[in-house]
Amino acid sequence: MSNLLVLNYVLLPHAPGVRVSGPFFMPHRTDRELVDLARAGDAEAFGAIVRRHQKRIFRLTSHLLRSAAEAEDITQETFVRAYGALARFDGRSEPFTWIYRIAVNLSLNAIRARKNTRNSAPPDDPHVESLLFEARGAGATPADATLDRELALALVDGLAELSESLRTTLVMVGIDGLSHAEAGKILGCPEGTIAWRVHEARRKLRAYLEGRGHAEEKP
Amino acid sequence: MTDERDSKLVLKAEAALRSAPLREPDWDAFATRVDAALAAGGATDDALLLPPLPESIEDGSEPSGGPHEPLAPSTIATEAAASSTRETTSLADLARATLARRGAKEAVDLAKESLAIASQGRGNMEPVAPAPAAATIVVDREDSTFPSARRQRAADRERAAMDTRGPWIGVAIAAVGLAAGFGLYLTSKRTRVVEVPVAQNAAPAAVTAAQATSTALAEPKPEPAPVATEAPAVTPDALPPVAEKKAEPTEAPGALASAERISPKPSSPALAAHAPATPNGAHAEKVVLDEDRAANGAGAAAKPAPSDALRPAELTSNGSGISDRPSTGAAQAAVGAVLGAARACLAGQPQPSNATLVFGSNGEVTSVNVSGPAAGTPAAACVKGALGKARVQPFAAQSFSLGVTVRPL
Repeated sequence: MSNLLVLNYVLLPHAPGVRVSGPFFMPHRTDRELVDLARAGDAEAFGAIVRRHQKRIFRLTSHLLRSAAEAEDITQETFVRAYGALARFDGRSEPFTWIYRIAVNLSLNAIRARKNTRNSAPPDDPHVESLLFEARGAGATPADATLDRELALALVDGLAELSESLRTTLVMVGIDGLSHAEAGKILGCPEGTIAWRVHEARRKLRAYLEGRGHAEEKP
Repeated sequence: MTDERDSKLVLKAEAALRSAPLREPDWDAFATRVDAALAAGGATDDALLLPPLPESIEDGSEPSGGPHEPLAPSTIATEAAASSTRETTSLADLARATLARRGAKEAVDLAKESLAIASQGRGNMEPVAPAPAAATIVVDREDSTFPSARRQRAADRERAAMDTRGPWIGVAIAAVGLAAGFGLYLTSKRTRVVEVPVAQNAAPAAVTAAQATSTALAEPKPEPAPVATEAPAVTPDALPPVAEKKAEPTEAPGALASAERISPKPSSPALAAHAPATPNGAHAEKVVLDEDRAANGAGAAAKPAPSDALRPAELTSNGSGISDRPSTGAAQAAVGAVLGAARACLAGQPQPSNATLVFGSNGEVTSVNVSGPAAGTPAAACVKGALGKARVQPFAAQSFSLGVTVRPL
C-alpha cells in the first residue's frame, strides 16, 4: 500500500454525495482519459491522477520553495485546486501541463507572500540542506558524493539569487527535466524565451558557482 | 535541449541536485490530507490557471543571438532615459528596420501603424506621462486567444509572397517614407531638439545646456530629416541614417552632447513611455510596452532582429479603417489612465500583483483576472473595478488581452 495513494470518500462537485473508496490504480488510462472520467464523476480517476503526479509535483515545489513542509502543503493545494477547476479544463493542453501550471502559480504566490526577500530562506526550513536527504552520485566515491552534495547545495543557493522567471524556468528544465516546449506551454512563452532563460540562468549560475570556489572542468 | 555553451559545471550541479533524494512526505498521510481537503472543497481562482511567467520585458532574445543581460524592471527607467539622450530612435528607424525584414504588404501595414501610433501617441501619451511610477505594462506578444487573427496574418503573408511584388514595393516604400517623414516632422516639433544647428552655432565647449536649448528653440532651423514627401522612388537609403546623429558631433562635441542631454522628451512615442516623469528624473515613468524593448534594448544595431514570434501586439489594418487590435499607444494610455486607481487598491501591500485585462472588440474591458498576493482578497475586486474602466478604440479582433503589473502605491 505504500505506493498506492488511498483517496477515500472523495466528494465530487459534479455528483454531490458520491462516495468512492479503494486504491486507485489505472495504469492503462492516459491522463486525458482520467480527467474525462473524473469530470464525468469518477472519483477513482482523480485519485489516480494524484497518485501518478504527486511525487513530481512535490519535487518541483520543493526546488521552487526550498522547504519540504511548504512543498507538501503546496502539492496538496495543487491537487485540491485542480480538482476544483476540473470543469474549467478545456483540453487544449495536457492535464499534467495544466496541473503543473497550477503548482507553479501556487509556489510563486507562496514565495511572493513571504515577508522576506527572495534571497532569504523560508521560515520553517532555515537551510536547504534539510531538503536534501542524502546526495549521492551513482557509482561515485564518498569523496565524489560529498563534492556533488556541496555542488548541489551551492546550486540551490545560486538559484535563490536568480530572478523569479530565470529560477523557475531553470528548475523546470534543468532540474525537473521538462523540454523547452513543455516549459513554454506551462509558463506561457515561446520556446525561444525558455531557451534564453535557461541559458541566462546557467550563465549566471556558473559565475556564482565559480565565485564559491567550484571550478569549471577542463575539457 | 542543452546549449553547448552552457557550463559543464552548472550542468553537473544540476545533475547532482536532480539525483539528490528529497525528504518525501508520508504519502499515506498525504492522501488523507488531500482527501479531507477535497471534501472541504474550495474555489479555484482563474488566475491559477493562467500561465505564471509569460514572456516579459525582463526576457532577452533567443540564445542564438548570444547572451544578453536581462533588462531588470528596476533599470528600465534609467536605461530608457539614457537611451533617450544618447540616440533618438524615430519612426524612420523602425520603418527602415521593418523594411529590411518584411514583405511589401506588411510594410504598407506598418506604415499605417506608424501613422496610427503617431496620431494616437500625440493624443494619448500625455495622460500617460504622470502615471504612477512603479507600474509595468506588458502587452502579450503572441496572444493565444486570437488564433484566427494569426491565421489571417499568415495567410496575408503567403499571398503577399505569391504576388508579383514589383509595383507594390515602390508603393510600400513611398508610404513608409511618407509615414517616416511625417513622424519625424511631428517628433522633431515635439521634442524641440535641433541637434545640428546647436552643434554648428554654439561655441565649442562653453555653451551651456540652457543656451543650447534656447538656441534650438529660437531658431526654427531645418527639420533634421530631409525625407522626400512626394517622390515615389523613396528608398530606405533615402531615409535619414541613424548613425548620423551620433557621428555628427565632430565639430562641437561638447555642445552637441549638451543638447542631447537636455532633450526634454524622447522623439518617439515608444520612447516617450520611458521618459522621466519629473524634471529631475528621480521619479521615472515605468509604463512600458514590450515593443519598446526593441528600441531601448542593448543597442538596436547589436541586437538581432526579432522574429515574428517575438512581435508585440499587431495593428494590422483590415481595410475597413479599424485596426485588428488596439495599438500599443492606445493600450498604454488606456491602462495608464486607470492604473493609479488600481495601485491605490494595493496600498500597504508589500508585493506587486499581476492583472490580465481582456478587451472586447468594442474597446471595453470584458474581464480582469488578478493574480499574485492580492488574488482572492478584497483588493483584487478593487483592482478589477479600477482596471475595468479602461477603454480603447474599437478593434476588429474578438478580444485583446493585456498583462499589467500593479505595484502598490
